[in-house]
Amino acid sequence: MDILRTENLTKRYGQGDNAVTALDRVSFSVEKGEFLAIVGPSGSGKSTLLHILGAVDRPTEGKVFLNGQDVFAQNEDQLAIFRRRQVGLIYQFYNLIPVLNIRENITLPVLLDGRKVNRRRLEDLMDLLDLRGRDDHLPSQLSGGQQQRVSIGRALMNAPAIVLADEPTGNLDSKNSRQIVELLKDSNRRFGQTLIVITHDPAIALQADRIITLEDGRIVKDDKVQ
Amino acid sequence: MKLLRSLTWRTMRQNRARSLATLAGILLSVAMFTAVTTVGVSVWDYVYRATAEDRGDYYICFPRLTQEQRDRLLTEGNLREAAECRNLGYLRFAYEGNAGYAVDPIAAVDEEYFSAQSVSTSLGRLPENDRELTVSMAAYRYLCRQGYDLGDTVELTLYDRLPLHFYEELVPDPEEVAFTREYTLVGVLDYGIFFSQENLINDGENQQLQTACLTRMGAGDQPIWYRIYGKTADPRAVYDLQNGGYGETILNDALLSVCGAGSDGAFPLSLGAIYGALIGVVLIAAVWVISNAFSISVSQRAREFGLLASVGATRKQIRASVFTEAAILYAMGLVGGLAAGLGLSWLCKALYGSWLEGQFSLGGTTPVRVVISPPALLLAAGISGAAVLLSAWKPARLAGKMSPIEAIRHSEETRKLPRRQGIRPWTYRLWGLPGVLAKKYYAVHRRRYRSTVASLAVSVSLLLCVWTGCDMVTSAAEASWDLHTADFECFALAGSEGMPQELGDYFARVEARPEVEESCRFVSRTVSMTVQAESLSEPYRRYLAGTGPEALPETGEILVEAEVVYVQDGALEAALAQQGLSLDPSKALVLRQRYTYPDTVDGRTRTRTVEGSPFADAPGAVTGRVGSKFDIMQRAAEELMPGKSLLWDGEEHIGPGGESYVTFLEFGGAGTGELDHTYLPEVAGDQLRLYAYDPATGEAAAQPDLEMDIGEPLTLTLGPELENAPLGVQTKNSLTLIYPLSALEGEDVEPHLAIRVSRYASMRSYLGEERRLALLQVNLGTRETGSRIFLPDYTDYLENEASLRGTLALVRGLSYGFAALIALLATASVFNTVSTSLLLRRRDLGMLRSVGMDAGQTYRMMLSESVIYGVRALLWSVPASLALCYGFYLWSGAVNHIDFSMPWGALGIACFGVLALVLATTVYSVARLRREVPMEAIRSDGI
Repeated sequence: MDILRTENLTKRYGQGDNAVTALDRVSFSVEKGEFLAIVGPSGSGKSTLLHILGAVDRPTEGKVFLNGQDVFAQNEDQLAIFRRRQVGLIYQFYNLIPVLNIRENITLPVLLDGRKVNRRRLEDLMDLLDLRGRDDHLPSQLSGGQQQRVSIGRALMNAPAIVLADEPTGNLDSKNSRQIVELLKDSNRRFGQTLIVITHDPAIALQADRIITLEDGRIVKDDKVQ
Repeated sequence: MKLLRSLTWRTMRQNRARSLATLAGILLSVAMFTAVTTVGVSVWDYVYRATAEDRGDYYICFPRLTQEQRDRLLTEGNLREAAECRNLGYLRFAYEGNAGYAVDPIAAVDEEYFSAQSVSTSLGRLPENDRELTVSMAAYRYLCRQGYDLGDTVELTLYDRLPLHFYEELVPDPEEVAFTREYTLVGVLDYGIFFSQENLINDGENQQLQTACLTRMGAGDQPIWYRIYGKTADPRAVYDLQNGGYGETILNDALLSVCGAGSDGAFPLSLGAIYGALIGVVLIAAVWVISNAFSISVSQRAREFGLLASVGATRKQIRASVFTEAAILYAMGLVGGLAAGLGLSWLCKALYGSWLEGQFSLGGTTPVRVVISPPALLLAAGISGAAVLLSAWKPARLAGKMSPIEAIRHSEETRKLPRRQGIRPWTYRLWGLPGVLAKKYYAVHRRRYRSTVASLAVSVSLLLCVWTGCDMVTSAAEASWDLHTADFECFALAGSEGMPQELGDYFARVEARPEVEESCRFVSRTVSMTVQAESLSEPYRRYLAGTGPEALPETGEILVEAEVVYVQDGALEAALAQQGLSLDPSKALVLRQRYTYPDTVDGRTRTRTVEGSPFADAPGAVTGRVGSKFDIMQRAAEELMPGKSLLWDGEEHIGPGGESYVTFLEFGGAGTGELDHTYLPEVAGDQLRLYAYDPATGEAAAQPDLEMDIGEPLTLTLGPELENAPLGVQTKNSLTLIYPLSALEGEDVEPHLAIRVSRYASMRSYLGEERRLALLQVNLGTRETGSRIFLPDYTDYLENEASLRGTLALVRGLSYGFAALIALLATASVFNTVSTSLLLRRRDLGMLRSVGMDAGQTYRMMLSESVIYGVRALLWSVPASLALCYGFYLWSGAVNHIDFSMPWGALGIACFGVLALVLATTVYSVARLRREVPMEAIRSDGI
């Protein structure tokens, strides 16, 4: 069953002669619980695609459907709720809130949603992410790998339907990279979440159920991994 | 460097909102400097021109020059401007009704004379050649009676000297010479300046020598003497010319004072002090605002500077980048600021010009104008340039010192956070997530917000202080005003006494006017006397307690001052009946007139310890205000010393022997301002004797110069307090005892007439016309009654009150205007800080939105943050300014006898204003940020 579907997604930056097309009529769908890797050279539109899927950017044309609902037909506040409940976004550069400590950063989507924090889930996540004992640390007091784990924790805390990761290991060493990928796969398996990962790393891509290759904003290949 | 300049320019364009806010701060500062300097120059220009119109546009006058002196002065005197006037001779007209005759000098003048002396005509025109004559009004009337009018040619007999032999030195021949000249009458002079100058060459007693006739200089003139009005390039050079061998000189001290070269120099000093203080305050405020703006700019560009430093930019280059931004913004703000400053000056002129004209114009018609002075504009530009430079200095140094890696990481600020930053459950419940985030962000950006808090605090303090200060000044001023129940008070000028019939007729005419709604004849007296303190009624005690510098004693003899008004019979009874009251004869107060005499001041207690003085045995020391008895004395002195001007002085002086004395009466020479005599009083029984006293030696004359009868003790019956006093009674400033006019029966008194009118303008016109007609008749010599002249006059209380209120309104307006300008600067600063602070956090806000923060939460967070610093500003400023105001009240309020009132209105406005400002700025900034999608904001962190 498709959880996510895009129709002719197009994103253009600039106008007239200076216009650059980052995405050019991209259409695909993703099944629930699927682990999808998006690969492609730099500037091929991978990050743009992911940001649009996460509703933090808007397409110039085209539509995104999540569970059959047109994401961008919602107003700004509905989009905010969508982002905090349906999507977990992991950025290459973590994008943690510098004034909040680790625990607060992880629970931020829940707190924004006005719900009570599930202590057990938080503790599990902290264990899973190996962040025990660093609850009160600020992001600036952590290493890159730890910050990335916090950003994963934030993405998973609310048990979103889809986890989107934009080169989650791009700034990490091989050991940290392995740990992060394992973490994401584990979460994918344990919580049945749909996982879409952008990566340059073929080894990570090969661990996915499916690989979409983008070039110049277009899907040039869409393969199931055996 | 070119690349850095280009980068700076691009950064400014990219951060347009911040650049605009900084530009607004610079523009406002330039505008304020321009307005302050331009208004200063314009006020100076106005005072100069008004003084020149009133006293003549020259620095020095050489009133009696021989031809040799005149020629030498014009060639060697280094005069920048010179106007010449030649005395051709004197006319002698036997005016009708006068015993003697008038002496009118004929003066031949050059073109420059009309610039140096503001002479105009009431009829016809000024002379254009040496055959034309413009005459005085008195001469014109005389000539009209002889059958001449303007346009006629008349043969006049001139004499070569005054009949009083003033000019023996110039004209040694004792025989006077008469000669005739023909003139065409072309006009009648209408300004007194020339006449008052002429007064300076007579003895000041021959009042008929106050006129002059003007013609133009001609080739055939044979002047008796020459007069030159001159200006030197440096006004102070006139003091050298005084000793240049040109005989008598007259300095135009009023104009020299305006130029800062007068004998006292008080005017430019005080004006300079006011404007210096203004410029100082504006400079501080401007440096603060602009410096704040540049600090923000440096914060915003921190990452950029870090990256530049990491690739090899030197500190100097980075500093230069900040200064480049400052220079660009200054250049952009300069022109607009100068224009806005000139606009502000025009506004000031439109609002306050007519008031200023009313304050300084002494019968002249000088209008206030805005003077666009290049030096003033240059000064404004220079000071504001210095302010911008000063403002950019610290931020530039900060930018230069910035650690590249700290700047790139942007982690410096979060390092200031305490290590434990957990959200405690109760905190979360109390504030909610937006509130907690606001608190955290405030903690991180505390330093950046410090200037915002300070700007707001200063504005609030200024508003509260100005508000309270204006209230206090208004209350004190109103308490000191002599507000009257009447609209006009009609009376006869001094010299009219002994003419009850004339005065009665005048009052009857006034009372019969249809405009008069109510009238009351009255006599007002101020009496000072000693009284037993325990006999005072409670309202009088309350009044006295508020007037003296010392605590009012409960018992014993004290000096009191009483306003006693005798009102037309029936008026007091009517006022009492209005309140359902009647006279209470049981309350009696016995007052006895008494005077002070030399005593020694020992702290606050005066004791009589003058030894070796003829007054050592004078009876009774007094406490209280010694200056309060002069109303009685003035009347006596005027009667005894006619023609002398009186200077009153209640000051205490310390004599050469260490004894203190109170100057009691001082008689000054006419118009000189210098004291001729000081008298010391002695009380002997019912007699007051005044002895000539020399303050330099401390010795008094053996025999009294003046003796006056003090009179019998006076018993006054105190009645109930009146809410609505009859016409003629002052409503404030004193406790007044009111009695029926019939109580003065048998005394030779001149009543006044108080009237309340329905049509103010019409009545004023009527009273003015009565006075003008009487003056005209006096001029024509047809209005004499025996040796006295009856001159009706009036006091316009409505106009006085309006003028007083106008002055207060001006003070209030200027104060609020000044506070508003500072508030504007603060607003620019707050707007700049808050909006830029939000822009700097674009990325954070983008991240928060990317994890699901909605619009309401964003607004709540930002508003909470704004409220934190808004409340913080109020918490600092409100108690501080209230304490300041109360301190000011304690300092001045006790003297002015006014109550301190909490400035609730100002507090409300301040709280509302602060919250509205931070709210508006936040809403504007957040709305701007929310227009972009989260990812744009997240991507914004980088070059």
